[in-house]
Amino acid sequence: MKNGKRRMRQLLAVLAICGIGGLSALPMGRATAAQPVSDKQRADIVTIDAMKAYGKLSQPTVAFLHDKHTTALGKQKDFYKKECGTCHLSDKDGVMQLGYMSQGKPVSGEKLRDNYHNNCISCHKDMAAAGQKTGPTDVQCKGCHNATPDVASNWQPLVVDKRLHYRHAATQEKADNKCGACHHIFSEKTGKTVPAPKPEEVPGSCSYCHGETTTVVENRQPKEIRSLRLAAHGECVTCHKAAAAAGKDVPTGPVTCAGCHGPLDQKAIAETSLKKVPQGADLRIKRGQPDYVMVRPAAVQTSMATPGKPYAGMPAVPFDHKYHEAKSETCVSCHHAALSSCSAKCHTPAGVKEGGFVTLEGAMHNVGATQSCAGCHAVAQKKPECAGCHDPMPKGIGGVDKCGSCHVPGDAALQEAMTSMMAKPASADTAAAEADLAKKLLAGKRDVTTTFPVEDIPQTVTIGSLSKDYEPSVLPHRQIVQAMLDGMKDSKLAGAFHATDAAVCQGCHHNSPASKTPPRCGNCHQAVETTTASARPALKAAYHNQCMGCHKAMGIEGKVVSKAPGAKPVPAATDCAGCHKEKKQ
Amino acid sequence: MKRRHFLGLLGAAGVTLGSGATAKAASLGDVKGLPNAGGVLFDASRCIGCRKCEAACNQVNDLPKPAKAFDDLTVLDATRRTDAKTYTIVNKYVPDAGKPPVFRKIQCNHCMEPACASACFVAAFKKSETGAVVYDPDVCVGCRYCMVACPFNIPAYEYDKAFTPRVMKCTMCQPRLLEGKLPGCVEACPKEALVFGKRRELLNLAWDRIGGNPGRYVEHVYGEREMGGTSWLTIAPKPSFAALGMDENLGTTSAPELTSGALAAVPAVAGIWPVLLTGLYAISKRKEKIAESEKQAAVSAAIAKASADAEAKLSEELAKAEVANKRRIEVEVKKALEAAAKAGEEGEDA
Ligand code: SF4
Ligand code: SF4
Ligand code: SF4
Repeated sequence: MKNGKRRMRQLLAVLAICGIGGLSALPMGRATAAQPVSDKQRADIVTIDAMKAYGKLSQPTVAFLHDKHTTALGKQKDFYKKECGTCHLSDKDGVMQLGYMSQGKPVSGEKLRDNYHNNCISCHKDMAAAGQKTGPTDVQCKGCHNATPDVASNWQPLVVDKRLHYRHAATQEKADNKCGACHHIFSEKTGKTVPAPKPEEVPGSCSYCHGETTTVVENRQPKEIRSLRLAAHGECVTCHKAAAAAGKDVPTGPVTCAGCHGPLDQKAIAETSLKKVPQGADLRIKRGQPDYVMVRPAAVQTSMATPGKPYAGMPAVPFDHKYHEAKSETCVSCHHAALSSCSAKCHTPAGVKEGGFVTLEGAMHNVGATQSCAGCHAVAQKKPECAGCHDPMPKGIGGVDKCGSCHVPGDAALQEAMTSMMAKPASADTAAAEADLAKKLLAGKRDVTTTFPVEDIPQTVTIGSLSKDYEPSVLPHRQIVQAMLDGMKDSKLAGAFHATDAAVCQGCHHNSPASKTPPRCGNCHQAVETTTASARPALKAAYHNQCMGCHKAMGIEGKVVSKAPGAKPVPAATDCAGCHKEKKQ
Repeated sequence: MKRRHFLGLLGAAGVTLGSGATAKAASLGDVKGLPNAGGVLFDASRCIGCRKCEAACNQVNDLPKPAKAFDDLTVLDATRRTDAKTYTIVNKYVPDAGKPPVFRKIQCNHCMEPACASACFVAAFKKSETGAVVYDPDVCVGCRYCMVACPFNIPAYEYDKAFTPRVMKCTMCQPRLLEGKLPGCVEACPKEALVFGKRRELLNLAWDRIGGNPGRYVEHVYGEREMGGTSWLTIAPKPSFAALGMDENLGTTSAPELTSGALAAVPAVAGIWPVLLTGLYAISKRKEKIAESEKQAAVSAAIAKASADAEAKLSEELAKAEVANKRRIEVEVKKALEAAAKAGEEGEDA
């Protein structure tokens, strides 16, 4: 806590001098005050359940409303004398403890209970005696221990995305140590954490060191690392308060629970970011990262490269780092544990303890993990415009025919360059050559999705082979293809992965050879249902599942999607006559 | 009535169960591993609530036309249940507010070891080798114990028929199955939300769908083990089967196992006790309705087929089990009576 003490002192001094009444008068209250506040949906519910650690609870937990208390206290005449200290104690360094009236040391269950009971109730009593509106003062348990509180939490985690980061960086622009205001590192010399001196020395996201819980490891420096929650509240809230106290017109961040964690306030933060961050501003967080890289094992493995023989592993993957940065909100989206290269220490081809034994292959292909390439792409496939085709498809890396989409082999010359690159371990020296190679390999990739020339796409397709109770269905085939292409026209991801002209056809003409003239559905789907269970649907269900499934996944069922004048809605699944007219008997 | 008298009756009933050529009695030994038992897999994630299955069921079973046409989907806005004129219905559920609804088709689940059959002492209900649980109105005495026994609330009574009311439920289209045809609902479903096949193959198919679509389905095949397993299997999208009004706490013990105890060795004996204790009135009433000769013929035919062995074993088992099971049976009877009373109060069967 490098700046905490200074800030706290500064804050108290300012408060004392100006005699500012309290929180509600501080400027940071403004951003949140404009938001309509629902009393029932709150982001400030702190569930007091610490007694759980001592066995079964004899009373329901307490839903404590933090913002309600800070606001009420802010109205107190002498509040500035104690401020947060009314409820939170500080240690000898001036670091505030986040627990209520706690020293941060373990206490007995009884002590803990008394701590709450004595302090809460006596404070309420004092206030009541002074004629103020206050919380429960009696000994009736249910005043606080209410099993069915009439409030519900709408708390949302806060993400410091690129825009918010940009705004913070901008406010620190003139500071002597712009990054160090938030980011710190451990200094062996002083034996303390110190502000990160240079951008290159910033260790990255807070979450890399501050985990879900506070960790204490005896022979580590520093020994104790606060949980992310404690660190964020200690640093962010303190800084916001100090900045606000320093001057009336200094814009600053929220200090209330709802201010950061309320959905409406988060929306307001995002909107303000949009306004405050100049158009075309470079939001890139610079940590000396390359624009292009080759994703490859860090070290040369003997099994993969034999001197004088060609590289025998998978071709390394050329990766447009800069483009992917622009598509992610934070570095943590991919670099979940450290900013360094994935393969450097953690995800080796064989897997090591540091990486939880997740191999390089797993780290890149695991569809269940959003940090992996395949996992993040699978999330992108959930967008309505993609879901129609991709929802029924297996997620992630299907057949081996898909490998070449990323493991671009390149022409003979590039292959040779790759082989010689793979003979050396990845290092700062090889970075430039690798970036160059990646750029060249990616040069041939499609940026946009294209398909066959429009005149080769049948205008309509008449589906009539089953026609019995209904007239044949006339499918606006070309219109459907064009609507699909429209949906992905701005997606480079789609362009890169729909590498061939027939790729978009495969959404409907699945499992059939990619061709301009795919086989008819009836070739694989029998016309008559049999009494033998089969995973492959009969023709009637094949049509219906495919058409209705796509409409449903895209969310267009029953809606007008075509922009043509007089366009009809996409038929709802139960609207039989929407697709095929009923036959006159 | 004397106990010996009861036992005579029991003997006749017990043997009747074993006498059908294609029918199987509702006890463990008899149905386990019906190797070719068919079934239907219902995939709620595919169902669009079009009611084509309802219409087809109505047509193939020659049921009376409903008040509202089958293409009137507003019917789905109310929760319905099956009745004597409707063997199957589709209900709409909204597990996640704001997300599209999920539909569930409801009909007899054709239990592997049906409670309805185990409760029926004249063996009007039988598990057939096709997988269907079929009903014989000619032997039914109208006691309605099957209705009380069914864990899925399926059999319904023709209350409006004064003389020969029957217990009605889905037959899995047994007559069509015997002709090699599909059940009407399965054939009509435009989405193959219903698949007919061997139960074993259906289980594979169900688990393949669950495994092949990670995150989509509840990881459970309803009916694989519920009540000892059913021929009708259901898979459903997340969050739960309970969200589709299905009882997730039925347990995996079949009805005969639950009620039989030491008497399991004798087919369907357990079901007789409630009948003996409370059903005689109903039997005598029914007697008036059915021609005396018909009944005599049935009983004598059954007795003729009875083996002395079966009778001896039955009495022996009964004597042994009597004390041990008395308490248990009393509890079961009480439960059954309460359930019947409750069903009556709620007017569910009306
Ligand atoms: S669902 Fe009910 S009626 Fe159908 S077989 Fe099972 S117990 Fe009998
Ligand atoms: S009403 Fe009684 S006799 Fe008829 S099928 Fe049901 S249990 Fe059997
Ligand atoms: S016919 Fe099929 S899709 Fe339609 S309601 Fe019945 S089960 Fe569902």
